[in-house]
Amino acid sequence: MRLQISFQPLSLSGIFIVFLSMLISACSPTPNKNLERARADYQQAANDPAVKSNASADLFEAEKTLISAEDAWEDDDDSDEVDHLAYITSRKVDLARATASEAASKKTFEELSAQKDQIRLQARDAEIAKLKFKEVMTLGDVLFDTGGSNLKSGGVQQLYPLVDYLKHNDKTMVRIEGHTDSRGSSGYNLNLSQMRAEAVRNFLITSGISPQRISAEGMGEGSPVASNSTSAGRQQNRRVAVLISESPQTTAPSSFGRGM
Amino acid sequence: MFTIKTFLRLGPSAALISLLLVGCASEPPKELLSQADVAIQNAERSGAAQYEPELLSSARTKLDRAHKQVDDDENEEGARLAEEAIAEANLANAKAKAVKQANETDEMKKAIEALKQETSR
Repeated sequence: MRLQISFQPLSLSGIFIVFLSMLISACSPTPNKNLERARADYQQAANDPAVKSNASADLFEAEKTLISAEDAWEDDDDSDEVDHLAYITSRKVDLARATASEAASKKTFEELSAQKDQIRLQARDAEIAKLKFKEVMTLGDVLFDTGGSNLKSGGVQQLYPLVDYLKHNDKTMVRIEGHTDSRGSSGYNLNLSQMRAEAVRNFLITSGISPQRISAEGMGEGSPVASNSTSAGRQQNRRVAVLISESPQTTAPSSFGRGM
Repeated sequence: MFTIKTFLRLGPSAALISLLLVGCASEPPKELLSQADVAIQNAERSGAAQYEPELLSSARTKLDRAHKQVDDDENEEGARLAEEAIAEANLANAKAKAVKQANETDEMKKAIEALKQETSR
């Protein structure tokens, strides 16, 4: 009789609440080892500044799965599902670590790569500085219009013998120096002489001479060969000098221009 | 997200229905199976067979098992296995890439050492 009375107040929903709480209590007391490990994996990675900065997207994916795993553990009695989600969480944390490691390694690679270019450039400059150049031709001001740096077609013809020579002596280095007279500001003249030297260099490159063999520099108005007070002198000062290395490149180290 | 509170608020009948649904409402996880396939192919392209062979073969095995479970109408277990195959293949892919990058960086370090020696002579 007592049993009957005690059951009377229970409604249908009450029965379900009891049923649900039984489900919950079935899994709550014993912690899930896999879930604990996933949680620890995630926390460790999330506290790692390298992972946080280089793999935040992957970390976020891991976090989402971890939350699903926690929810499954709280809501469900299906330990297979919790184990499954915990496992996925741990793999996603590993993925974030791998991504971070790749990013860090790539960064180092790029820094080293820049360093390597720098070393090569310095080696090349050092080699060129060691070479002795002699002036083989002076191209007069017919090469360019006044104030301009576009090669005139008449001027280009003067360069054909040089191209020919360089093609037949493929170890020779060539140095192009631009010079101006003293009219105009020195900055303007430096700039103009640089552009003119570059124009000759570019012409040689388009004629098939390797860029590695050619240096070009604007010397401005500072190296006159005649007086700037007469128009004939100024005309002589407006020039492009072509210098070639005296000895062929037999003594250059094997690193010279390699792989560039 | 379905929490216990939601169940209680929706009332017992809703809870009963959703419990029933969980029990039987599973379609074959075709999407997951093909995602796993793609993830494994990506890992293979990244050289996972060379750098992460165990992880890659585990992913392949899980995908095979997933197909078998689905064939047997065990779609829920099939979906889990496919998801694990995806996670493992993605991991194998990322690890292979990381190893390759580390190797390239090591090569670069050696090249610089060699270059330094060469130019200091």
